[in-house]
Amino acid sequence: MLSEDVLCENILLEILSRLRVKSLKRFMCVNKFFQSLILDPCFVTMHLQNSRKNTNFLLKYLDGDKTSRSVIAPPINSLFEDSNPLFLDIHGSTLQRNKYQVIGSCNGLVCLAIWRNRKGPSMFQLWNPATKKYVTYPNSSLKVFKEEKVAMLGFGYDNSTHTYKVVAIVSHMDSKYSRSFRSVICSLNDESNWRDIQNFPVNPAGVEANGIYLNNTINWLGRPNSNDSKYHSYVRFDKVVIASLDLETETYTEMLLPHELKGVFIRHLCFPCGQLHCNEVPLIGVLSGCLSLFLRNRETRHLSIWQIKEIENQKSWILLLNISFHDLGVNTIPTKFDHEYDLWTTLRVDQHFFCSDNNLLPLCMVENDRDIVIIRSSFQGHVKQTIIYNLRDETVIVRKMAANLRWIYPFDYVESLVSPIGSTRT
Amino acid sequence: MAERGESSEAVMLKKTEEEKLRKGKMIVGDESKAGYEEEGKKVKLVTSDGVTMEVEISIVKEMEIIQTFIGATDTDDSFIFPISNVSSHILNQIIELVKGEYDQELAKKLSHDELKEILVAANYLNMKTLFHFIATAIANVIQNKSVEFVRDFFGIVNDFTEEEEAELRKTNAWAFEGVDED
Repeated sequence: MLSEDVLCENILLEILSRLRVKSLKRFMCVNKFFQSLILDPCFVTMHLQNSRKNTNFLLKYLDGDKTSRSVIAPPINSLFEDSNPLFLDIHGSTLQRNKYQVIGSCNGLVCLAIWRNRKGPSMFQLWNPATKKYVTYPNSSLKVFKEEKVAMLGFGYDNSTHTYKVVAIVSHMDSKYSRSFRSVICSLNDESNWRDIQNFPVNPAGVEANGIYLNNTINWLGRPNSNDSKYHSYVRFDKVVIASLDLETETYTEMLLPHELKGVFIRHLCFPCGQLHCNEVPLIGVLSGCLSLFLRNRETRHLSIWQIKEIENQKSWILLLNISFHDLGVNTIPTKFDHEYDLWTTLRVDQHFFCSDNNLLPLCMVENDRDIVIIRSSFQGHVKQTIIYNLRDETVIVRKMAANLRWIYPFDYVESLVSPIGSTRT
Repeated sequence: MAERGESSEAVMLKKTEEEKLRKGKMIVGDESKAGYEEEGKKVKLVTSDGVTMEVEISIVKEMEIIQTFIGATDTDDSFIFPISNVSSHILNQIIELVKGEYDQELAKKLSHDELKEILVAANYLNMKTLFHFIATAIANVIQNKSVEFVRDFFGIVNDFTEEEEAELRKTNAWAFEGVDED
């Protein structure tokens, strides 16, 4: 039903696949042809591919009286604009429950864990913030033994079976078993049963350590098992490894971190056990499609970003950035803390990040491969500032953020039309 | 921003490939001189309205349909390529956009009809960078607009009944909030 001067279907698809989900939901009303184009699974995939070029990030937005919280997903580019554009388009989804934890995101779907008690999540949900659709998987309740608790979670999409999978690393409170970590997996589909897979090969690395999804793997930081390492007076970062779970084979591989990159030594990042602050906990994340390690050192007052270009290729590590806090325009990072955390004591994963103040975390790398967005947060993830660091010109732009925003880790969220129902093929 | 980064990379890649090709074909002589001559070379194109235009080789090189043709035949300067689907007006706009290194500011000055015609032309001439650039420009134009605007933009007749449309609008009511004025 198109008039004669209208563009052919392929050309139209190219245009539509560059639109945001909200526009597409509206344009389904244009006519029946448009509606059928937008609902076509091939189009959903095409749109997702284009959408990957425009990274969005998830933020929690709290009302003035903090009674209602929505999740918004502003595009990263909005941080570059002068005005405060985050507020122009708050069409976030209000979450149904408060007791949720964001585990991760892929293909535009966000995985939420609903916690009933402190031992582990009672239920999982898949949620598409762009289309506002969510599905609860009632059979996904994770039952752990009396002496066990869930230490870490992970979420990812298995390309080989087109299934979304949730992984839980379970620790045992009895010291006799304290060095074995059970890992269980659940496919989010109609069956949703938990199955035991290979034990987690290392000791979990503690705080707020949801797995990082990349290329069909979920990755966590860990420390190799050894007899007395828990009581060592020093935590040696050069002993830290990345444990990588292949979602197809459901087996782990371990990757060592390099000892040194361009004169930056990982062993310099060690502190007496029990005095390591959560701001200095090494973290992994994804920047421009590569697994990245974020290191912060209170003594040299530096932020370091290390990147592995190809997973499992030890030689592909690069030093992406090593910069002093001062050069990032941050002069008030404290060197003394009120609360100290023992990195290696596996704590219950809380809903909030354990940071107390002035944490610096790389959020993402902009598509131009030149700007790194670093967020500076304070208590419970309140976003204080965003720092945009230009790698080429070595310049810094600092933006203040509104007080009622809380960031959500991990960050790599892209908008999509993908349905959270079942293991939809994408 | 994303699109621009990708575009310049694509152009650069293309240039390197062309350079290799050029060097490969050269038998003897001064490379720099050959390069210089190539720079100034123009190709004659005949548009749909019968205008013969001399277009710089650097721009023609982005038109893969003509590149294929040049590759297949042994051509000299006198050869004229007909591009029967593209008017002289649109070809001029294309030349401006390529010379302007695909600046979205330039695209903003184009009318809706021009944007659509350039997109069709880019598709026909197989100019990949231009095609993606204009598709993005059009997406930017309609991004936050109303359903009526989009029907008008693409010349589309609504074939929903009133009830069907009302139902659809109700289901996705949130998507109709905060839409720009047409």
